[in-house]
Amino acid sequence: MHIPDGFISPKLYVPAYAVAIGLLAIAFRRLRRELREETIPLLAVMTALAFVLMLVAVPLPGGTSAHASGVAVLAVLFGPWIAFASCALVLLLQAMLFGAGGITTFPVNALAMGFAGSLVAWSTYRLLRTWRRPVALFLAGWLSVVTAAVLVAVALGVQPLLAHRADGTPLFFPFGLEITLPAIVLPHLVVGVGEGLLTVLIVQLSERVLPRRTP
Amino acid sequence: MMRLMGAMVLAALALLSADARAHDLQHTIRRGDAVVITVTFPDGMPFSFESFELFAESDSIPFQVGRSDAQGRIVFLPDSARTCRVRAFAHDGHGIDITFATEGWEALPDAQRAPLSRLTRILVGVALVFGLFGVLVLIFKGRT
Repeated sequence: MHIPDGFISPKLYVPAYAVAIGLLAIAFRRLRRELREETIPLLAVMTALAFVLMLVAVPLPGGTSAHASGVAVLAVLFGPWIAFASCALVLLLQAMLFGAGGITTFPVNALAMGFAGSLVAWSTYRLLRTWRRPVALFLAGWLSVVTAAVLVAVALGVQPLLAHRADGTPLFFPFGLEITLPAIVLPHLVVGVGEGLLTVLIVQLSERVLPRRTP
Repeated sequence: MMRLMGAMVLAALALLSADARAHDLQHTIRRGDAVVITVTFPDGMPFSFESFELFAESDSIPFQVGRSDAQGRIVFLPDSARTCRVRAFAHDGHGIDITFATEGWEALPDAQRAPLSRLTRILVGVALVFGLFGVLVLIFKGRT
């Protein structure tokens, strides 16, 4: 789901940088205020897990592959702001070490996977946790992936409209929304099931091993 | 009369052959030194039958467009261009956009072609994550 460099026009990534830097400033302020020394090891472990999960590509029918993210686990255990900061760190390291994603596309990836993914996961969990907690955790995971996929598909699909030559030839990503939405979102409906199950498993396991953290 | 008919037949044949030549395509087959870019997913699955554009130097018009083959290979003859840029796209947002030198690859040591293996880079990334959070702990300890 990481958008590589060269696929996104400056018309989108420049404003995205402005928004992402603003939100990251808020996230790091919240991190300083809310994080306690005893919770840092768990956050480090979950961030490392997200780093690895995002690099494990699952082959899918049709000659493509997708991956889980672990963002919902971070959001449920630590809240959306800390999850966003952790996810942004993961995406930055992946762009620098693996070329997974990119430097120009970093804010778009961070906003889609980190910010929107975390916010949706945390809101879903908070809304449904008193009804059936495992279902709330599963849906938090599933929706975090699907939301990020929709945003990435939209960011790519609008490129032919945003930047093209006089004859209409796209200068960046060449396929429109009618192609990107089904091509990106449909596989992630399946990947989201894995992310949902992983969220249930990891959150419940971390609570069994460590003192209860989730609200 | 016979001469006239013979001349007409010859004229018709000449016209037909000229017409046939205009529709004919010639071809040659020979081996050349091609650049081969192999694109795969991290698990080794080839980036097959996906569209690509190839640009010489800083040209904005591609000098070659096409699709990768079944094994995810993009093959081209670089002519005089010393650097090329290749962009390959899949419908689902996977792809590459890289600029590279077309010459001198044979002379590069292996370590420079692929500086670190994927597993090494994963371990480096995980170590960096723990290192950064270790610094956070030190900052917390410094506060108290």
